Amino acid sequence: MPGLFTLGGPRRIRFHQRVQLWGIGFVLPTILFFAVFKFGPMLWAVGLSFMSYDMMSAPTFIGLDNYRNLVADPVFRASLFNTLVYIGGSTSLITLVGLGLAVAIKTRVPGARYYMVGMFLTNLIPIIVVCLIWRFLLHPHGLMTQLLHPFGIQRVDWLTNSSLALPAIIFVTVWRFAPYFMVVFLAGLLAIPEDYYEAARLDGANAVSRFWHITLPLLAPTIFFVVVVSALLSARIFLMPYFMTGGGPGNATRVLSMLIFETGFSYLKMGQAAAISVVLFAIMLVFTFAQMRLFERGELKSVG
Amino acid sequence: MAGVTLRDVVKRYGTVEAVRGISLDIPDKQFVALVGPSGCGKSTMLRMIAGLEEITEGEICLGGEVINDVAPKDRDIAMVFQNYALYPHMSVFENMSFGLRMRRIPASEIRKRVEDAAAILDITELLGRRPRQLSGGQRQRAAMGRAIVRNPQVFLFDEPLSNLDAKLRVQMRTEIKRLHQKIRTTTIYVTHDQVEAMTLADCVVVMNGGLIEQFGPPQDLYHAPRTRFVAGFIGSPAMNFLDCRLEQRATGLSLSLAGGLCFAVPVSRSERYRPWVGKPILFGLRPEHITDVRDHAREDRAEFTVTMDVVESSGMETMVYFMIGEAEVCGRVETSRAVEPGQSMQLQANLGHMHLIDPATNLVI
Repeated sequence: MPGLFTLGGPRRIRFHQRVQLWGIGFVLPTILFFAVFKFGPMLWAVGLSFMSYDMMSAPTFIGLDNYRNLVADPVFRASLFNTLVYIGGSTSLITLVGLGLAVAIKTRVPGARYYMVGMFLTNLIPIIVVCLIWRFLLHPHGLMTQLLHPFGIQRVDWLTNSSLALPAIIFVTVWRFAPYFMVVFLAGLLAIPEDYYEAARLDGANAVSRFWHITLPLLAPTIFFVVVVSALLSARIFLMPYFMTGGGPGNATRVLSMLIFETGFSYLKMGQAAAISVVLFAIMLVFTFAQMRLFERGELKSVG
Repeated sequence: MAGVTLRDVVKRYGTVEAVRGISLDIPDKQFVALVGPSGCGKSTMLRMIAGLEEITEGEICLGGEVINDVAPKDRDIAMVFQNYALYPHMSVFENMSFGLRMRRIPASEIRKRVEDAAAILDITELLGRRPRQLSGGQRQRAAMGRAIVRNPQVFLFDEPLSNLDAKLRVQMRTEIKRLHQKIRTTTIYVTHDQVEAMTLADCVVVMNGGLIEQFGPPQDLYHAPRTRFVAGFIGSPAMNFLDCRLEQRATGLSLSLAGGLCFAVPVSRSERYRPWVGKPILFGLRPEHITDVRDHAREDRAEFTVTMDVVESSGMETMVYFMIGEAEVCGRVETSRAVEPGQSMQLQANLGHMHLIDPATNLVI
């Protein structure tokens, strides 16, 4: 075989090209999987949002009608508002409570380990069970109301009062998810070398200054992660309002994901449902990009 | 500026005693090095002075006042950490000014002090950079800058050069010495490197097992070690130790070593050593006191011939290793006179510098 040792012989594939072919071969199955089961349906949903489709007759193109209907629909507007309130409320509370708990555990309050284990257990409970437990606890005469008996309050319509229902669901969300993010924060806190705190103590910084000038800046990447993940989690919330209030009273706890489900599968308006998902998707996208920009600037600042 | 006094300081972690009763008086403006092997308690000692570790027993005084229960921030002590501990999200300027800002010093005053300190350390052009954009030596300077802007009573250094490469370490060592000559703040410097301790300090404290073995000026420790540990720890390469027997002969006292060697004890030392006649004893002599026999004759020398095992040349000088009995011994000769391994060479032991150690107490006689 005279060509064997000739570099770049006529029909031979060069070494680095062969490496590239192998690389493509390895990622191809994943790319195909994503194309067929992720991006395909996403594109299909975007297309569907311009059509009228009831799952029985063939879809017909109707242009922007679905979106025009949404703008005019008070239920959609209420759901959109609820979703934004829910994202804002639960993300900020999850972050604050998660960080607070992590700092408390890091500073070794007595019995911190047991609190941590106890709180983390909430993560092992299926969401449906969480909803059932809290429907029971949030019964108008339930345990949460009984806690208010000393203040002369005998009955609270936690889940059936339209101004209390959404905050109540946010509360349960925080109860369920904050301990998970507490663990994330704790990992972030423990990764900050003790040296910095010792140097700061000698530099005359008290506990508050140390938290403000050392902990927070060095924890920024973790905070960013928690905010993004919990915001995306809140944006897609479905089970909690669905099982605890069913979107009521009225539309007080109806969120976009619930509206998508109902519009698509209860009223069989697939095109309309697809339009709502596009809106929800756009919210999540805008939100993520905004945060990335914000924190990129922060990161750059810390790099110099 | 102020002196530091330690009185019977003890540190216990549970049942483990890291520091076992240390008393030390460090006068104002002195440069003191705490030196010892890993785990000897030197870093713990330093951290207790800083206030980062509680003192189990005893007292630490700063400028005559007991500071056991004073918070670190109120002690007016600055520390340079082993890993520098420069805040990564702050510029060098912000790092250096952090302590001043925490103490609510006016901005104009802060700027002036930081710029002065930066000028002393020659890091003015680095003030806007972040720690990760600095080289090891620059970080070291920035960390020292953070300490000196506060103009504290005492500087503490915790193995500050151990993260630098050998060349930079020597350079920064000189830098630290120059800094101390310039601002003369009381300095306590922890290191495991005895060369660093010897070259930098006015007074070296050798610690071992949570206790002070000896303290004093570097030359005292080198020439008159009080214990076997200090004799072996100070000096590089380390002192040679040989088992021997002190005998009374017609000509005077003499040491009989393994391999039939016999060294006559200098007359000036006879009285001191006489009580140990007939007893086994440890003979100590530094490599630099075992030299070529052709070197200009010294008094109190003993000649002997040995076969070389290993010959290590470092240019200016050559270390020669050979056996006396079971023990390996190191000597130092001029490179031009060194022989090949396996050849024999005539050497002289300069007994004016010998030490005898009582094996029962490990004290130098």
